[in-house]
Amino acid sequence: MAKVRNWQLGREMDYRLPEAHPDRQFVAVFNTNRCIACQTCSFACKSTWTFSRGQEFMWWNNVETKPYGGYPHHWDVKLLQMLNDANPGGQTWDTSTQGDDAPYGEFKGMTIFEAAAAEGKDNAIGYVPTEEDWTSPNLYEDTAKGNPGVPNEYHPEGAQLPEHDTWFFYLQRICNHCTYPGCVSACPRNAIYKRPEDGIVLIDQERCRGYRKCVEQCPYKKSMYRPNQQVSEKCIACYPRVEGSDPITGGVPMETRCVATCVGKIRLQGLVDVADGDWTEAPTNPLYFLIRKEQVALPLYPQFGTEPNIFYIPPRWVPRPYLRQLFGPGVDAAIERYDNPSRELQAVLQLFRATQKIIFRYEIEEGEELLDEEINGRRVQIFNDTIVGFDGAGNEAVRVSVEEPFHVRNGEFAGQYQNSI
Amino acid sequence: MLDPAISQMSVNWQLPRLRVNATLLRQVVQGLIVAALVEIALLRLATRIGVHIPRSELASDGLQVASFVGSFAFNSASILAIGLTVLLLTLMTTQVRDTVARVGLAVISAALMVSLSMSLVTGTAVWDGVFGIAATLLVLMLGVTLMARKDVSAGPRAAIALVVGAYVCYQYYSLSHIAYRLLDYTALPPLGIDVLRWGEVLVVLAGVGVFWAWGLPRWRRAGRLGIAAVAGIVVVVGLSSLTPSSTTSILALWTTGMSFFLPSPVYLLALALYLVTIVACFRDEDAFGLGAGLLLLLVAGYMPEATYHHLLVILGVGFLTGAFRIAEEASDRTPATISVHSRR
Amino acid sequence: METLSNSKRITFAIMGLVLTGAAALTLFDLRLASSQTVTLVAKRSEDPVALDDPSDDVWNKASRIQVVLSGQSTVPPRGGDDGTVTAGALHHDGKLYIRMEWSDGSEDASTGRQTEFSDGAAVQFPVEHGESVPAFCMGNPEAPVNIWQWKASRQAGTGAAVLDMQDVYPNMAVDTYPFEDEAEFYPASASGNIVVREDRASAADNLLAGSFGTLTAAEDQTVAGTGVWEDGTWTVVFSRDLQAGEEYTQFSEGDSTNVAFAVWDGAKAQRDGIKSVSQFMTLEVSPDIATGRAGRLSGKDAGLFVMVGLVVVAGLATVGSYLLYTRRETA
Repeated sequence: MAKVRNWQLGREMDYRLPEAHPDRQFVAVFNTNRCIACQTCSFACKSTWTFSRGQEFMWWNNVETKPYGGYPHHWDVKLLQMLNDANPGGQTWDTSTQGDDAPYGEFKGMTIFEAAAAEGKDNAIGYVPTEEDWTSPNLYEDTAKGNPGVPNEYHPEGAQLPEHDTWFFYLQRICNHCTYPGCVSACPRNAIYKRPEDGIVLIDQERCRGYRKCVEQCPYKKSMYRPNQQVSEKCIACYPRVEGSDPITGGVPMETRCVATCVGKIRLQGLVDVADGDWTEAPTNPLYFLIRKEQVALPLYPQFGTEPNIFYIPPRWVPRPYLRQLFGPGVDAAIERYDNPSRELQAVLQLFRATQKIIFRYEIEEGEELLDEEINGRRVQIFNDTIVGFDGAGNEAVRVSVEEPFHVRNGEFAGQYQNSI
Repeated sequence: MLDPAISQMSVNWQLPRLRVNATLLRQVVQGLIVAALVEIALLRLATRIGVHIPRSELASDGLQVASFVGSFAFNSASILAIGLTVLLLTLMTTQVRDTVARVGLAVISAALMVSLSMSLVTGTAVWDGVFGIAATLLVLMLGVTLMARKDVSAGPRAAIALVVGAYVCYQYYSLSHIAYRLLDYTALPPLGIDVLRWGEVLVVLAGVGVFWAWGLPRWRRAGRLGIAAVAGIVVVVGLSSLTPSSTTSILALWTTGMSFFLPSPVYLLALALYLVTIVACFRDEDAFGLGAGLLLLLVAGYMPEATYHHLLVILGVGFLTGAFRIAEEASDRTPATISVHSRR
Repeated sequence: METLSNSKRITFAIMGLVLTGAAALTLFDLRLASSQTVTLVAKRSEDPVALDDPSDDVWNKASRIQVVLSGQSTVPPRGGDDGTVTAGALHHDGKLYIRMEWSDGSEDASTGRQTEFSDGAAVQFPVEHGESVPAFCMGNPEAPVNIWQWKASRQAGTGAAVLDMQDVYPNMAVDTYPFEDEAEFYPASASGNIVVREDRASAADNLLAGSFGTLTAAEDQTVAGTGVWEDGTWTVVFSRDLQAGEEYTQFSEGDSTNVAFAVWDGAKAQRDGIKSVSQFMTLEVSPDIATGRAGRLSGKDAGLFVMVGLVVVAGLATVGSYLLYTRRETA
């Protein structure tokens, strides 16, 4: 067991392997507020990578409806239960220590690795999902939380901000390409590795022997067993695209399929530089800005301890205790900032799904003020700033403004209908 | 207690021109203990931990050095063990006056040494068998001698019975396989595995027996430091069985030959009692031989892997039964008297 | 005082001799001890050994040993059970045969479902010959080991090497599989992963390991293995040429090496380090002809019996008289 620094937990933790970091890390932000669960991402992934025999049940990308949905069924609830059994009532955060090193405070509970040590188990706690768990990947789709004690009925005043009593939201899930992956530490064959060039976690298909220790110990259950190959497979973060080897972008790094196809424009994916064990400060890298500077996007279940690298802008209508369990104690501040976005955040949010190319840096050109009003007791200012995204080669990749361009067709319906055909 | 009864077995003897006295014997035994411990640490322990260490140049070199030094210690220990065994056998033979016993003992001793030599140079199973039978008979004989004494209290009796019983159980498993092999039987020896498991139970019980016999009377001598050291070892071994850590290899060291089919706390308790006894004995000037005997048995393990380990068992039981005793360690620190044991 | 310094001198002399002797032995890479572990003898079989039939009659002539298994507790993942395995060995026409037999209440030969794991067995040898003392337990951790591993799931008849999903889910329905014949969509087999190689000739793999976590498929898949499960007992036979590439364990008549056994129970989700393992035993390849008889005495046997009996009787007589003598002394 080695001691490694997990910035999401604000402390050191036990991990089987010594601390090591890639030069750059694959990172994405998913804005749960905008997702419509069209599953275009899921199908983009499946039609690219998992359409073959033996992969029938495999969804490297899935979108599940929280609170009841999960693929495999109840993956998170089961693990939360195991963690609670290992450390009853102890899975808490100390938020008084929040700072640059510990943006969410310090986690006082046990990670999956620490809980295993406490229970005398090897590596990490976990379980191998059954076949039934993998069936019906979108079970509980669009199922809202019920009214406690009243069967078959929703809460009468279900939809009142700031927290709805009747609610659901969509959680988009791919492999988190964790900094301290449960799968890597689980593999007795050392067949799983994290690439130094982009932090993407891959299973060596030549060395894997299908022991399913990674299936057991990945807390997010994104390592999956393929029976007819007798090995496990997992999300590969579309690495040929991230490497820039797809001809469409002419050699510059490109977003993954699930990100690039997102209809709801909820996803932004990129690469952040890593040095001395932490992300290099890069305020104009949109991912760095959203996650570390503005802290509007949060890791999923940071308490598992794997330091996941997919970050979520939490849904603003969902009761906070539930969200804090999912995304940690940063939820309240994140929702506050998303609800009342800064001028820069308004601009950066425009970059989502604006181009297939990975944006490494942005510049903002200031525009005129569009709005200055008091809404719900707050002063709201909107500026029509233009944000320019630059690709891996430093060239301009995209240029978007806060106010969406409004085009008016000439002719019979001019001024009467928008975008009518 | 043994002390008064066995004075006639003390190291009061002489070979022509070689003066052997208690101090010398003690030093040689100390040498054996040091060599055995170094061998364990560098060969068995380092090897087992070594497999967990990533293959770096440094680790590789370190393990090579450990392996070499460990082999050196192993050979030193083996030479000393052979020497001391010859000494013990000579002692026993020269002191026995009953002619049948004397001749028999001489034959068994000769068989042990000849088969030991032969097994080093040939791979014939017959010599392994002869060695095994001779070693078993010697250990039995040492045990029986003790049992025959009227002045020995129940503790040492029980402890020796358990230690000897465990060795005989393992030897049954080992020798029955050799016998079947020599007889070219394709069947399996009856009860082989069962007897092996009984032996393991006896080993665990021996931990308790040994403490009762020699630990309890002087456990205070172990001192706070000694108890703490033992507690430390037991905690490390205990934790290593709980946590996924390479310290488990320490467990593997102690359990050479153990199948661990009983609940692990049982083994931990036995180990703790055994270790406390060793520490207490070493801290008691009068009980150096006991401490040495117990330590050598621990090094040999339940399943002695090589001839060297069998010799350690013989020596260990020899020390525990008082057959091999550093005569005047009780009070007189001057060299032992140099006279052939007088025949009464 | 004089005696003391005299004794000191003797001590130094003795220790000097001991250390010199030990140093000499160590420099020549020798260890002054011989292995006393239980030995499995592979005798020469006059009849060919059927590889596909572990219950072949020739095994009635092979010598056998019974070995204790216990949970693998050295390195995570740990696990396994207490148990026993009965091992036998033969050689015939330049091939070594090792047979393992152990009880297992269920035949787990499929890994087609998510939570299914296969029964398995393995034998392990140090690649470099041990000297007189077991090389693995007491030697160089750098020394690699050669492992022959058999898995029920890989055996034709009990589970095809390359499984068809239709076999696992007979009622499954899929509209179409695009690019079905393109190898890269089966990355494990395309990259030559040994667990799914389509040219698999046997359910046994030839593996090499330098330390835990380094198990690697060997270049040459020269080991064959067949298992049969019947009435709660698995019987598995491994075979390989006595001589093979130099990176693997070599066998020749008259030589001994170490051998250890491992067993996996698929019903208990055992795989990898979660297994039941034995201590290292000795394997001797003998030039003698296997003529094993179960219990019938020949003249030669009788002679040996008498000899062993005499030694034991003499020993017991000695013990007895020793006992009498000491009783008299202390009385």
